[in-house]
Amino acid sequence: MPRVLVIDDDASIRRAVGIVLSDEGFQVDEAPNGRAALEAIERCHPDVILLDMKMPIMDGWEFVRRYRARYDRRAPIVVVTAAPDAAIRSAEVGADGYLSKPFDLDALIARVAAVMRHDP
Amino acid sequence: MTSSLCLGERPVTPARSRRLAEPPRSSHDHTVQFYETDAALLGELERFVGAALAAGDAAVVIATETHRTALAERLHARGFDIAHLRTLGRYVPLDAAATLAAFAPAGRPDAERFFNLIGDILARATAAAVGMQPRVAVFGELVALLCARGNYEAAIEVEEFGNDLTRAHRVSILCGYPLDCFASAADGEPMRRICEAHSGVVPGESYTALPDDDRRLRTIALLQQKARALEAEVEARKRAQRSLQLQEDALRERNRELREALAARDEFLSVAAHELKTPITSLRTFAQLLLRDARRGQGIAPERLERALTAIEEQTGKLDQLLARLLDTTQIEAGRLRIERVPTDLVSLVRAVVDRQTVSTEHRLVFEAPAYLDVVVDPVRFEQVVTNLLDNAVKFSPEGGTVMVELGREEGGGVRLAVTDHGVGIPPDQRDAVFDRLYQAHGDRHLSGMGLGLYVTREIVGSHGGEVRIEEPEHPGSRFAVVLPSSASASAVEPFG
Repeated sequence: MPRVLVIDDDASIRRAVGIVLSDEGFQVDEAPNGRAALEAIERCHPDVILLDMKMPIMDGWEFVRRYRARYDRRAPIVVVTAAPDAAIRSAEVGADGYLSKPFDLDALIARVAAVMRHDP
Repeated sequence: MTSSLCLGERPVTPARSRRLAEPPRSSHDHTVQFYETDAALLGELERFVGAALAAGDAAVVIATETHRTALAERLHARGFDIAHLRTLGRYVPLDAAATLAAFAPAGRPDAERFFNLIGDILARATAAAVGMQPRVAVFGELVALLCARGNYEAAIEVEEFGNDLTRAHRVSILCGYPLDCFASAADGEPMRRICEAHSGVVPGESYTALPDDDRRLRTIALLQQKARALEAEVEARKRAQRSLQLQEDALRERNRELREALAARDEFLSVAAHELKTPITSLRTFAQLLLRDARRGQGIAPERLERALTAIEEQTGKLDQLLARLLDTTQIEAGRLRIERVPTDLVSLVRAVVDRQTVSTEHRLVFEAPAYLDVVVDPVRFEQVVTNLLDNAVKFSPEGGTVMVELGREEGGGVRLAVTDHGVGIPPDQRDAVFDRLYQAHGDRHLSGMGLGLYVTREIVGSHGGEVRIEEPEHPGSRFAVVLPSSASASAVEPFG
């Protein structure tokens, strides 16, 4: 079962995305910020990461920097942001894809599937 | 001396009819002649050179080509045979610019060159003069050329050379300066120094052409008035200019402030939109989840339905709160934040907020307060303050831990509410910035997500005469303390009628 890590400081969004992706056959792990996500990755080794950018404690930019510095084999990252310039933010961190909040379920599922296909 | 020697062949025609009174003449060796029109200068030159030639003296005229030509015509008309006098060496016309260039290359007069050149010219002219005590009348306007180029220093230097000449030779020097050379107020000082360098000064023709002393005195009085009026006018204009400059500066500053305010408003709107998107994302995702299940025709699991409804309940509450803060912010911006103070027991108010907060988080909330604490505040606004501080304490201590809420009376009679968490804390250099309405937008990203809460909180507390302080707790984390003055205490105000 593929594993997905949902990083977002909003608990309600984590829960909603978690339900959707569980329905799609993913094992879902959650983290409320970058630091908690780095700790979770030690245990869960995700196949794909959904990443909010603006979070307290450790934001998306810092998370990506540290994640890349620490691991050789890296899961694809989908940036999920409410910022109007989601594409730019995604490019800034070299993410594999992005979604603008609010998003459609179908778009969410398709995006996750797409980055996993490119990164088998 | 015979007339044929000095006048040549043509018969002498009498000089133009004399004026009623002779204008003042200079009998000095080195005279400066100011003039307003060329005609006036030429009239003076004609008299000066004509008198010298008639007396058997020699004349050296160092002038512009225009002046040389016009002077020659005038002398010719007076009966002087200029061509002959030139041949004799008694009339020596020289070009002013060429002569100047010969001793003052690049506009810097060279004393040695000057005395060699002019000394030689004067010696030959003196030799050509006739009579017992031959003199040389010298007209020069090369100094005027220097002044016209703004090179007053060089002009004054050359005038000093002229003074040396009067000591070494039997010469009378007349220097011509158009008054246009001194057209600005700042030219007064160089003009004074040029006058100083001469033994005689002749003012412009509007003065010298006056027929008698009475008219001249009247003219001087009028000129004095004019000078006084002009000085006053210049002063007034300077003042007006300074005042205009001040106004312009003020306008520019105001313009800059407006532009900044506009940019801040734009940024604020984009931050607000961003904030609103989070609950909307959650609402939309849950709605689509239910919709998808419904369309699959397998019914919606009760557990999922409850989760979705809970989310809708929470998120609409959050939206409502966000909108209220947005509204507060715009009201604060417009100076319309309404505060309605009533006697309130702050202890029960804070306890109610703490009780609400406890059920929705895994943090441990500890509330310490006296039995009651009567104050006069706006209870709705104060509830907002407490909610904002608790929200932040929970949000910025994601690892959980104790959130301490302490309420009590201060020594001076004031009231103090402190909320302390074990969270990430606030770097000292950002303690002022967190209250900024736009802190989220341009603040440090690690602390982003603070929202408008602290801005509104500070404004509300400020409207009650109190302040919000960020303090350093004894452990990692942050502490926000709201301090109300004793005047907010119930006993300190007039009873409500």
